[in-house]
Amino acid sequence: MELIQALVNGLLIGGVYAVISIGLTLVFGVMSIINFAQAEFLMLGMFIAFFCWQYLGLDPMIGALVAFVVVFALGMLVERGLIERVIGAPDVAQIFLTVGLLIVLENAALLAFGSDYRSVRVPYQTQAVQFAGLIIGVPYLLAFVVSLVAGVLLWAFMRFTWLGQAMRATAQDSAAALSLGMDVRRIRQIAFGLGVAMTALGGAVILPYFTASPTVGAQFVVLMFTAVVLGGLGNVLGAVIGGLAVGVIQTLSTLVLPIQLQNLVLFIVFILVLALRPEGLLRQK
Amino acid sequence: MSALLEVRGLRKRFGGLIATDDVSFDVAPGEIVGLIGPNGAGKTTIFNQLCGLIRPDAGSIVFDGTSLAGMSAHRICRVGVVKTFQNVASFGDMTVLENATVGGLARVGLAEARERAHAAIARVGLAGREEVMAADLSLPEKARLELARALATQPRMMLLDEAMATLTPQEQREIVGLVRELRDEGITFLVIEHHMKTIMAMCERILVLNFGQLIASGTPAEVSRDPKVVSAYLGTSVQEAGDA
Amino acid sequence: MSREPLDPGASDAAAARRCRIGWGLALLVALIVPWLLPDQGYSLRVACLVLLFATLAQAWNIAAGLSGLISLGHAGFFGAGAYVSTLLLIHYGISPWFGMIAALVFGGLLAALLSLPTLRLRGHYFALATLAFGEVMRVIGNSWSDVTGGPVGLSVPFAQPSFGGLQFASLRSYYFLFLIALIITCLVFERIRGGALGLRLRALKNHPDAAASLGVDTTRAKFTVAVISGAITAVVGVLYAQFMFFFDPDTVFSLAGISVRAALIAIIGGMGAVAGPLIGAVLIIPIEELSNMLFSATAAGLSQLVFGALLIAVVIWQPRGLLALFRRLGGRK
Repeated sequence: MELIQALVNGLLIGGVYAVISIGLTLVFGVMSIINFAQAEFLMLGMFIAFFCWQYLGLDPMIGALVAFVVVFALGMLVERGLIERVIGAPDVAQIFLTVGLLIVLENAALLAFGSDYRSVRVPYQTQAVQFAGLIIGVPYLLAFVVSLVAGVLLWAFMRFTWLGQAMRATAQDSAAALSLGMDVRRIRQIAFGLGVAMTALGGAVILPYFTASPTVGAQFVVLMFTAVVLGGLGNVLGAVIGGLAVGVIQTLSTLVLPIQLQNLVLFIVFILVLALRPEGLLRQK
Repeated sequence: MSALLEVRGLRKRFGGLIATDDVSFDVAPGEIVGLIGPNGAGKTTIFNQLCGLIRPDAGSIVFDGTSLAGMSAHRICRVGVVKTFQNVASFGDMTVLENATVGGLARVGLAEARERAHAAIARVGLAGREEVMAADLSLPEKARLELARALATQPRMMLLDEAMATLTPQEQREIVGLVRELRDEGITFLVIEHHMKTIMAMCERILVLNFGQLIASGTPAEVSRDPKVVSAYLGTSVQEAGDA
Repeated sequence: MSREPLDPGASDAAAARRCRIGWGLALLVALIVPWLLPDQGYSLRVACLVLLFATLAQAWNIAAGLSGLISLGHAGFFGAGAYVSTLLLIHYGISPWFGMIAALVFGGLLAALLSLPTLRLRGHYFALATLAFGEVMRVIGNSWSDVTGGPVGLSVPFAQPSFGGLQFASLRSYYFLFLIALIITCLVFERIRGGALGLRLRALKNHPDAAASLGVDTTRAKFTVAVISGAITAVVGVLYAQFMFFFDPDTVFSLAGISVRAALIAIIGGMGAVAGPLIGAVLIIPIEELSNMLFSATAAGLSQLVFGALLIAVVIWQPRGLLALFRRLGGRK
């Protein structure tokens, strides 16, 4: 029973990891750039939702929507002003542009917000529902549900809208997309904006059970990358499955390992997948 | 006289596409053989399998008694087969001398590699341009640099992959002359070229590829009369057929 | 547009002489500086750190600058060196000089092992794998408490200052030791770059297929620099341990503090050139230390912010780093 409880908890957290990771994989899929700063947008999402709660009294789930919109706009600006300039540039330029961005965002947040930890207080924070003998914390459930909705909406967007299909086309073959008259630069701009906005949304919805601080990104870097690599960089469905898998691996390993070693399991999975099957465990793109 | 290069049953597929479909041919020592075919026929794929950049799915490649199957590109180079690339593959931020020295390093140490590089550079007519950045060379000079680099590896066989793609007819004639001289000095050539006049003039034998299959083989005259070849090209643009 | 040759000395005799004079002057300054600064003073300490991080960045530069192997996990070798040497000292009383040799070998072995699965990965994937490596080392350092002492860290046993024990009473001694380490690393860099290996690496950076076709064993070339880079980085870790007398996993295996910092210094200074890491270290380390001293911990983030922005700026507008900027200002075309 304990195992099933852990499994369910893992899936609940995993759902959020999935949404966080979708962003990362979307950016890579469309632009072939690994955004090393992705976790910082999670941190931004958290803070935006926090301030919405603190000054506007908005529940973090609503704050998540605000975070999504704000970070989307910010992401488009960043793409246009910075990322776009290293498309086609050597790897070192692309890698260190986003590493530099990571440094800038984290330290800007440190300067602006201070290093204190912030948490919200919401009425449902300690509530739980019972279901088939399992105890499910309401914050976790809510986060999962919002993430699920966001994920489905994104999937529908990618599948059914012209823009979404244009993004998938660009991800497959940007030269062909260009020749078909698509404004590839615009597509990249939107893809990046969407990608970081999804991650920010994920950061916001976990606010009820996670404390916000400028350095919170570091805790999610490995999780995100492991999820994305498991499912295959660029594969959105893969990121979802990877996210769920990471959540489950994480909670299951707490059953057998001391807390410091949890991440070790993930790391090792991460390196093994990179080494043995860089294209991810799911076949095709 | 036994063949220098023996290819039997070469096969390669990429996903659903069969790029090389049971190709077999020989190249005798001292020949200049051309490989032609419409765009997408799989010519470069064959070259890449011969020089080790791509692993064939099936078939054998034997060069002077040595099986090349499964060998990595750098080892195949040491066996004596080297492929040239189109202009964009010159090492742009290195000088002409440095480019050629890389080739020399295939067999000897740095000092001697430099000597061989100098010789190769002179042989192709680039003497005096050793210290120029490869990126700053003119197009015909870049074509010569490709040959110099490959020459420095002391090859027995050179695969010229569209070495003259960007050259004027006059410039092409000069390269063809150079190739003939090198052949007389003992190097065998296998050539891919889109300019029909040039390749028909420079090669003694032509292999024709279409959809990954060898559809004809013979002298330039024989091949240009072959109805299979004509229809293969008429299946593509009229422009290209008109080049022949 | 004419691209600037990586080795201007090769194409211009006058420039070569200017180069040599420049290096001679730099060496002179480096030799004089410790005598101008008070012996136990903070400024001399900073100077030592400049040399240390310049050496670290140079070691990174050997892999990244010469062959394009962008590593975000060099902290893994750095910390490994620190731990190997210090543990040998603590448990077996072995002198850190031998500890350095052990670290050299261990670092090289680690790099070799890491190379096996990762060398064939493309740029971004490779960087990711090295990042994971560095973090794995950090987690091991934190959790394998029996061996490493855990998150609490290790202290280098304090002994009578001696040459054999690599502990000095005078900071100047550390300074000169680090200077020698830096000079040796620079010589290794130049030796590789100017030799056959350097040519092969530049070829494979330009066009790996063409290089392979011309007989370059690309895997072996990359493997060689990876091992050399890892080995030297581990030795720098030993020097750091002996200098600081104390270290913990989160510091010595730090992604931001070691891995990214090494790369940042090399890139801002000028990747791929031997002078780059030196310029980067001389610029960045003193500013960092200064802002740490002047501002509170939070406000110290300002210097980091500036460096992050500088990194972005360099990467977009001046990929050859500040070195290229100086060359241009110095009138060299």
